[in-house]
Amino acid sequence: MTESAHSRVVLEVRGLQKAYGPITAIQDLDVSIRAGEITAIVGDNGAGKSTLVKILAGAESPDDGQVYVNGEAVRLRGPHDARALGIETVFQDLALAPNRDVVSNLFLGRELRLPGPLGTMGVLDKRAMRHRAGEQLESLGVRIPRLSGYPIGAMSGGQRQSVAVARAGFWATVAMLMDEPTAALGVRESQRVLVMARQVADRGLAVVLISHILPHVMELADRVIVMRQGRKVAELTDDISSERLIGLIVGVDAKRVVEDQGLAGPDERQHE
Amino acid sequence: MALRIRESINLRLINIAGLAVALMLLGAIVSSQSEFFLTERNILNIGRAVAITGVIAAATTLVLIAGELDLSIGSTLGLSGIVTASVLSSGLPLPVGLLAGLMTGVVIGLANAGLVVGIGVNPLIATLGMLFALRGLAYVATNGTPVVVFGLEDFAFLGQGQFLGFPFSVLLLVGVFLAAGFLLSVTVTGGHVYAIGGSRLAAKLAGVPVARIRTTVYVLSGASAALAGMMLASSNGSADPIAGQGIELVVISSVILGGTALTGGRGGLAGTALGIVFLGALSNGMNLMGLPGYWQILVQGVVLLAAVVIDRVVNRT
Repeated sequence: MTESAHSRVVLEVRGLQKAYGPITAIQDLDVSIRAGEITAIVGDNGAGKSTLVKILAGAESPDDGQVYVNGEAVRLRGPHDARALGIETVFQDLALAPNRDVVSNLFLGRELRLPGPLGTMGVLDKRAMRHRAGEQLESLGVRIPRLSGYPIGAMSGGQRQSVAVARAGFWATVAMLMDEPTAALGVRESQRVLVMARQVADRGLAVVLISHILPHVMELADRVIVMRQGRKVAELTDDISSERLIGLIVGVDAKRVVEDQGLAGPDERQHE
Repeated sequence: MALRIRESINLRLINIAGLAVALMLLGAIVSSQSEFFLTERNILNIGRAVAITGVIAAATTLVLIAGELDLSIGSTLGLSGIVTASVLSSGLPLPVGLLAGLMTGVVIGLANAGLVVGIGVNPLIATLGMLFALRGLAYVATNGTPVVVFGLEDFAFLGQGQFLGFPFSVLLLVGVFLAAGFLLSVTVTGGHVYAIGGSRLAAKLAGVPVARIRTTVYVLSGASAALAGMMLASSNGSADPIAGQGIELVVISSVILGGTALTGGRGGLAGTALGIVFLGALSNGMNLMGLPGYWQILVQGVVLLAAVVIDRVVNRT
C-alpha cells in the first residue's frame, strides 16, 4: 500500500511549536500526511500526538509553525475552518448527539434542505438525507437496522463509532483524523472500525490514526510516525515490528525494555 | 443502556397516549358530575383559559428541549403588557403598541441569552434574577397601579374578539403551536435544538451554531411571554404590574406533564398541547364540581407529581 497511486502529500506541518504554559507539547515538528495512506502516530502519553491532531483538526492553534493543506498554507481558527477545508475528525469519546437518530447525526450541522422556498425557510429534506445516509453506510459495510426514528444513544458503542467514522468519511475531502477511535470498543467492534478506516483511505483520503494499541497500528498503518517529547523521532514505512516501535516510543533499546518489563508476547497494550 | 432505549420515540408516543387516556378519564369523571363540562361553550372556555399559559408553553417546550430554562417568563409577561398598555394609552396607534410589547420580550430574551450563553451564568440563577428584576421594574414603572386601556376596540380584539366563531386568543394559541411545531419537527433549527439538548459538545463539534440556537430559544421564550402579556392586558382591559406572577411554574408544569425532559433533548409540542389542555380541563372541571380553590392547588400538585413519577418508572423498567 505504501507506494499506491495516491501517495501525494495533502496535509503537512512544518516547524510546529506548541506549549501549554511551561510544558512543551510539540517542538519543531515536520510531518507529511499522504492521500490514500493510513498514517499512524504513536508515542507515549505526553508525546504530543493528540496535540498534533487537535492542531490539524483546528481545535488548537499552534504557537509557531505552519499547516499546509494541498500545498497551501492555511490558518485553522476552529474546527469549522478544518471542516471547510475537508478535514474531518473522529473523536475518542463518540461525539454524537445521543438523542438523535443515525440520519440526523450523519447530517448534523450540514443538513440538506428542500429545494425552493421551503428550503429557504429551513425545511429539512428528510427523504434525501435518509437516502444518502443509507448509501453511505452501505458502501462502508455498516449495517444498522434503523436509520431514522431511533436514538443513536440506544445503539451499541460499535454501531455509534461506525456512524461517527461514516460521518467523517462522508464529509472529508482531504483527510480523516482518528484520535483513539477504538479506545471504548470491544475487539470485534474495533475491527469493524479499522476496516472502515482502510475503506476510507482506499477512496483516496488521507487517514491519520492515533492509537495506543500497537497490533492495530502494525496491522493497518502504511506509515508510522513515532513521537517522543513533542518531536518526531522516527518515520517507518516497513519493518514495523512491535519491538522496534516500543523501543522508539520509550527511547531505549527495545530488547532491553522487553526483557525488563516482561513485555514479550502478543499483547503490547500493556505498555500503557 | 436499557434506560436509553426507553427514550426512543415510540415511548414518547406511549407517554402522549397515556396523557390522552388520563384526559379522557378526566372528561368522563367530570361530565358524569356536570353536564355542562363537554359542551362546546365550556370547551371554548377552557381554550380561552389556557390560551395565555399555552402560548408561553409552546416556547418553553423549545427552551427545555434545548436544555435551557427560563423562569423570567411571568415577569416578562407583566412588563410587556405594561409597555403595550402605556404606549396605547398615550394615544399611539395599535401596531406601535404591539411592536413595543413584542420588542420588550425580545430584548429580555436577548438579555437572558447574554447572561446564560454569553457570560455563562447558570440559566436557573440568571433567569431567577431576571424574574425579580423585571417584576421590580414593572412596579417601579407603574408605581404599583394598573395601566388602563379601556375603550380601544381593536386592542380588545386580541384577548376578547371572536373570529370565525372561535375566540381569537384560542386561534392565536393554535397558530403559535403550529408555528413552533413546524420549527421543531421539520426545520434545520429544530433539529439543532434537539441535538444541543442531547449533547451540546457533540453539536458544537459537528458545526452546529450552538450559541445562536441557544440565543434563539431565549428570544422566542421572551417573545411568547410578551404575546401572552398583551393578550392578558387586552383581555382584562388593563395591564397590572402583578400580571403573570407565578405563571412560570404552571407553564413549566404543563410542559413537563407533556413528557418534555427538564434535562433537555427529549419532548415535543404534541405532549405540551395535551399537558396544557389537561391542566386547563382539570382546573375547569374542579370549578364545575365546586371543589374549593385550596383543594384545586393541592390536586394540581399531586397530578404533576404523579405524572413525573409515572414517567420515571416507565422509563426505568
